[in-house]
Amino acid sequence: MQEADSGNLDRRLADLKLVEGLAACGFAGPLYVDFSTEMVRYGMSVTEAWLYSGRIFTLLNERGIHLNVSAWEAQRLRDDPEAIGDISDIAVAMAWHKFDERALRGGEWKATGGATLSTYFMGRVIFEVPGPFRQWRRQLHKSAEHDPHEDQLGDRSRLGLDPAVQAADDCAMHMVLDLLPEIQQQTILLKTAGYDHGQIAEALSLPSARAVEGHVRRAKKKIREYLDVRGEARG
Amino acid sequence: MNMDEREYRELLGRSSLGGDAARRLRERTPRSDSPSTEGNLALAPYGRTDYDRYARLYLAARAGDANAQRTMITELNELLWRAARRSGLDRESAADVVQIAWLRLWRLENELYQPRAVVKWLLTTVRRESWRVAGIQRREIPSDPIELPESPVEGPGPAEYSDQEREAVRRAFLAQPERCRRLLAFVAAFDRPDYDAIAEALGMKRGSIGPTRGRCLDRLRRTLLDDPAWNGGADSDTTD
Repeated sequence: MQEADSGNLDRRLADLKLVEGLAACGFAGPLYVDFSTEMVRYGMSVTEAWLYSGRIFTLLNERGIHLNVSAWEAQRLRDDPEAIGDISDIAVAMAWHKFDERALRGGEWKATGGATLSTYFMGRVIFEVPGPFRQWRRQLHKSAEHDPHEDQLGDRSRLGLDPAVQAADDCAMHMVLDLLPEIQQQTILLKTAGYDHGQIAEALSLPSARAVEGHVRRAKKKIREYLDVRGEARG
Repeated sequence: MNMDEREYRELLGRSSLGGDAARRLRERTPRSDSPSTEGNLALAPYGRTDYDRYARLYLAARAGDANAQRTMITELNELLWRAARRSGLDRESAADVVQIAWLRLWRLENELYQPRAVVKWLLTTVRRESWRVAGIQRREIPSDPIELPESPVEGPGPAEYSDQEREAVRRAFLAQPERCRRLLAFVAAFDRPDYDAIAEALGMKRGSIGPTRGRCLDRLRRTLLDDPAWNGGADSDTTD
């Protein structure tokens, strides 16, 4: 995914040799099974990171697909690892079949095209996300109709804590995130979910782990400034 | 000339999948080449459900093969039951919902348009039916925003704990972090919890389940002791 990486050309050449080697095996046999396993695992991990951080919606917007996801929906998705796993499973499985058929066997992927094999694959995955996402969204709204309090507070309304405190927490979280540019929001969300800087760079197509560090530093500075201002205002 | 394993590994390492960060990302999705890491569910080589196999079993069952039908039910029941439980149903309701999903599948007039989707079809049916049942159960209990639904995990009966104490335990449980709640729920839901399945489902190392469980129980205990309702319940016990 790190196209800005200076090793991009080397990676594409290795990708090309790999595809040629797999073609010579007839895209079958244990090596091909292993390759498909690794590509699918990669696809699932990246898609899950995209869904968790909201990156997927940015990528879809850039491609003219506007899902108009509300902050509440994005938060509910983050609260539901099961749903993230399901959406990712379906999207990657659908993308893999097309990728296998067209990009590999059909020869549509070209090393000269500029995209590495993994980037090309993830490009396919992006377009497979809206279907299962919409299905999850329909179910989410349906279940919220059954329990109108969930509509306001999500699953945390069941924690037995004061709903007013939760609402204030949610509000503060969104206010802080809203201060940040999209890429910093996504970086911070992935960092809080336990991804390391290298993984974040890979998932968000940032040039390096150092670039991630920069985003985290700037985000923290903004949050600190915001909290200081609020503290002074209260004082 | 065909590529050999050594050459393949070397190329994969230099390819776009081979970078350090890409490798660590891949490792977030568990890989399993054995067919028994997700309950009894058959897994494809890349560690996910083997949809082709279930498509074949489904078509065979539709054609009257009782063995194929039995195999599907044996292998998928636990997965479906867990899905129903995760939707907040108690054990009995979860079992009913799973039965309904199977009945609907076998009673379909036409076979599924995409047999490979049979597992997802069953899961979706179970979840929808679970939400429907949970909705009915919720409507049956008048509640305000703070009132909690009945615990999905069965606990000691009323003879052993007072309502106040059970309420305090439930409140303490629900106040734990998501990770702890899922782990404790898993451990509580099975008589003999399968640590491999828990590790797989929760994305934890097998060796860390025991210590994490201990820490979670500790937290739960502390939360409980801080709750005046629990202490009140304990006092009332001692005065009896």
